[in-house]
Amino acid sequence: MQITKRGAILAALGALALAWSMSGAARAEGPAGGPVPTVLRGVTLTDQVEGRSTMTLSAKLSAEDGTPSRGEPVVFSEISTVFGERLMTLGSAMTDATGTAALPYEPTWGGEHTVVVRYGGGSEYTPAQTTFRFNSVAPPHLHENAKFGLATPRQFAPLGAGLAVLAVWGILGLVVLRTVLGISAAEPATAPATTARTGQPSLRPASLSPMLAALIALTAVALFVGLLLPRARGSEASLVAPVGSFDGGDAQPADGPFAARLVQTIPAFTTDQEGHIMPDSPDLPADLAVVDGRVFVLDTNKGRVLTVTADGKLARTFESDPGGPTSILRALSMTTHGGEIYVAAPLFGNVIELSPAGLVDKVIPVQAPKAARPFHPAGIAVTDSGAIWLSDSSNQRVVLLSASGVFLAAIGQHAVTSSSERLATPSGIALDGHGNLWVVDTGTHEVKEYSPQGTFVSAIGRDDLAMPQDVAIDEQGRVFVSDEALREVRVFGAAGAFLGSIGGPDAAGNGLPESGLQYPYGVEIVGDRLYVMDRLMGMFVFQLGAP
Amino acid sequence: MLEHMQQADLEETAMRPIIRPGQFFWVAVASLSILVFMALVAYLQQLKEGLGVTGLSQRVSWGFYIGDMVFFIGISYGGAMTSAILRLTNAPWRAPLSRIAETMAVMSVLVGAVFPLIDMGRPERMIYLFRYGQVGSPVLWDVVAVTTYLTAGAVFLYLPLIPDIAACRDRLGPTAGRARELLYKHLALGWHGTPAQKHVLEWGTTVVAIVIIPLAVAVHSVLAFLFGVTSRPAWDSTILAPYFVVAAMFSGVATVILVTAGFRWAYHLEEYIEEKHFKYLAFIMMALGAAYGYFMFAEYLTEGYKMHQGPGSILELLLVGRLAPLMWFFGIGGIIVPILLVALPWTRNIPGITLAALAVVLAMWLKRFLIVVPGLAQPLMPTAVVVYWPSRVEVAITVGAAAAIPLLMMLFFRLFPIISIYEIEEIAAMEASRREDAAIGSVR
Repeated sequence: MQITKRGAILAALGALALAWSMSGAARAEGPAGGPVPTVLRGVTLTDQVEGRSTMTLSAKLSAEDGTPSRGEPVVFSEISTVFGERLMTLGSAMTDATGTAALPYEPTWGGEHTVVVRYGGGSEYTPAQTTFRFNSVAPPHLHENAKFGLATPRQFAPLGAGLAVLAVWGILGLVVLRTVLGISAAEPATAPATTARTGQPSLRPASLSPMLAALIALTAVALFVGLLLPRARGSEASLVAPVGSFDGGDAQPADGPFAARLVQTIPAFTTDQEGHIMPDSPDLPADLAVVDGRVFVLDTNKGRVLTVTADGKLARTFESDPGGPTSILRALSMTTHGGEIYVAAPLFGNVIELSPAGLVDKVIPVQAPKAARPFHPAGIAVTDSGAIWLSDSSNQRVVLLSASGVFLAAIGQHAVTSSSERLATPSGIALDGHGNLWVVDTGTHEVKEYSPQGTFVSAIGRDDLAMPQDVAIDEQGRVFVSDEALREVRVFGAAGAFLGSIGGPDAAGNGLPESGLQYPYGVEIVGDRLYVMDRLMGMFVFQLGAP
Repeated sequence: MLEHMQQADLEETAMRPIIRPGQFFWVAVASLSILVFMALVAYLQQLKEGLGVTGLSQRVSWGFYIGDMVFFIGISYGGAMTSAILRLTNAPWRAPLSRIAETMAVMSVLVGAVFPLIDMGRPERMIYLFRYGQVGSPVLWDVVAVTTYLTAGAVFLYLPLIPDIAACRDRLGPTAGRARELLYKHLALGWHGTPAQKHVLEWGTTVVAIVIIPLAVAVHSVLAFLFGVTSRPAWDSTILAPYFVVAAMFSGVATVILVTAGFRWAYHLEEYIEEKHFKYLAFIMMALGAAYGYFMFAEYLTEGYKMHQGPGSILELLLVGRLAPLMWFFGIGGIIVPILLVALPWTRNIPGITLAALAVVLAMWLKRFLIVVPGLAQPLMPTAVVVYWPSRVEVAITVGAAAAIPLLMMLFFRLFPIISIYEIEEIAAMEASRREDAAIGSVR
């Protein structure tokens, strides 16, 4: 067999390419045959040092088999609502020999805190993310007096001032009492000359009872204000509540899961290897919509709509001008109708109609009656005829508009009440197969059903929901409600019976509580699939009916 | 006989607004009520739509409202101090003025105390002050001080009123109507002018007069601390507390003159409130004006000498900048011109003094604005100066509040004598006794 020169060259090149590709594959697989799946968990908090409000946030990074990951950077962030909801980086820390990264932290507000911990991954480990919540139950010290060496005078100055005030009140009380009693006691038995002069008969001695009654009443009020009103909250309480003590109202996480199987997840954030969010990463996405099998994600804090690609990534479809008339910045809700995407845009209070290709087809100006507060829609649903329902949380109403935005009707207008018929904080809305409107009332922890004409029908979930955000109804009439506080989706029958919950901290089903739903928001049902948009963890898709 | 006739005249004059208010009363009450009503409507709009209807912003969060609060509580101080100091020094000429001054003090502090609630936007959150208040904060102490001062002012108004209420009870009787008859009966406490009753009343009034002077100083000092303990360039001054106290007295005495002139003219009190009363008050006002001018000079000179250039220079803004016309109007129209009007013999009469008082009142209100707003509008960082311009809502509420004070006073004088019958009688009797003693002494 004769080997030509050309054949020899080709064979050599082929061998070289094979060797190169094999070496590349070997590089990609790493020393242990590929990046080791990592787990970020075991978040712990330490209480603040006595007399100070500082505490420690910590997270533990390990391989799936429990081997601690040492010397890896972990980034801690927190959801802040100052100047809009956003992720605020608190700082980063390296893991120690036990895989623990710790960060000193001083909360700047009281109440609930949601912390997001990210690890960007590396050549040896895969990226990981987790969240946890805690309550700082005492108002933090926003202001601390300067240390200028006058601690003792500063300590006693309020006491001195308080004593001076008490003295003044005491003197005033004494003067009034002595004058009132003295004048009354010195009243002559017979009418003196001054009375005779006027020719008017003397009135009988004035009764002291009204004056004394007034004094007693004033004293009682002062005592009530001073002693009985609750003292400053948290003065004796710990700053930090234990993890998991989040107050979810009366509702408790359900014991009984609803039959559903997690089939897909897409992370909400993309981070670099040090755990920092990439510039193009989504930022607290709130909702999703499905058009002809394509899933669109509402990238709330960046005013964008993203598409889920075939390989499970998020790709940009539409990016609005943040300050322009088509801005969808801070939008919390979107829906579909006739193959189009409708986004409730809060900046100008209008509705943006997008094609699946990412083009603005229409800007629908909302012509709702002026209300007390600016119109920032938080939920949207479109009827078969093209009429648009928008929830107006700030003004406690849901408005019905024509396809061109002309006002048609309103539910719960100007009503601030927790009764079932009215609305307190309407959020997500959805239509069922009969055209009935379902409104999540976050303020009353209920989901309320209204007829297509806006008549109240029923309310469900009052004792089973804590902080509901969005709702979806399947073909069987079952109601799926995302609950931010319970961190799960709760399912109700059409009549309101609680059927079970989906997701929860262990939605991923891997026994890792930190990898499940943390901040579920938008929900959507397509066929037998439930799509959940978790603002921190990303998109979760569940197959309903499957264990 | 003559004495009894004079007494009857005095009672007739003092009770005229009670018995026969006249057409003027109703016209004035209606006019003032319209202004107050417009203020209420404006406030309801603010309550409904929020503080966005005002010119306030994140940077200039204190505007007309806080300026109004300082001003109205300030003028109250003048009323209380005038009456208390004159009472303690036993100045015989005080008698016809004391009731008007004391009533003005209570009504203006009542109106001024409402402004923090208006400025809050969400008044129901006032309860948080009591639930979460910090004992180191001037805000908490301000509420305590103003409440205490209001109570002391009310007691200080009530005690000298007791004999006059008894006079109403005795003179009007059932003709006053059932409600008023009961009111007079209970509030008079069985007063019949016995020596023991007079002794108790004199003691009580003197004690409250002593208490109210340091209390009023404390109120205005705490009010000044609201500004002084912050690090804003215009407020960061150690002289601020005495500055506020003198300003309050200055504007307060001017308001007493103005209110006295108005009620004297409207209720024909010329027989009892004479030109000499205006002159005495004007001299006090002139002295306080000079003191205030000196304080201002001392403050500005100290600040100006070490003045920093740049956006934080409030002094530049006030003396040669955008606010200079207002500032110079205050300096000239509020201090120099009033002092001249009082100092020059040919303008030292009731119209001249009233004009001077009017200028002082307007200028002192303007000065409160110049204290409150520029300190917030000037940035601490090198960013743009925020321009504050009051909205119609703020103007309407301010005008309504200014109208509420004379309205409340007129309604008060519809129930109680406008001048202190008892005090005028007592002082006249004392003077007569003194003259008698002097005559006896000269004969011996």
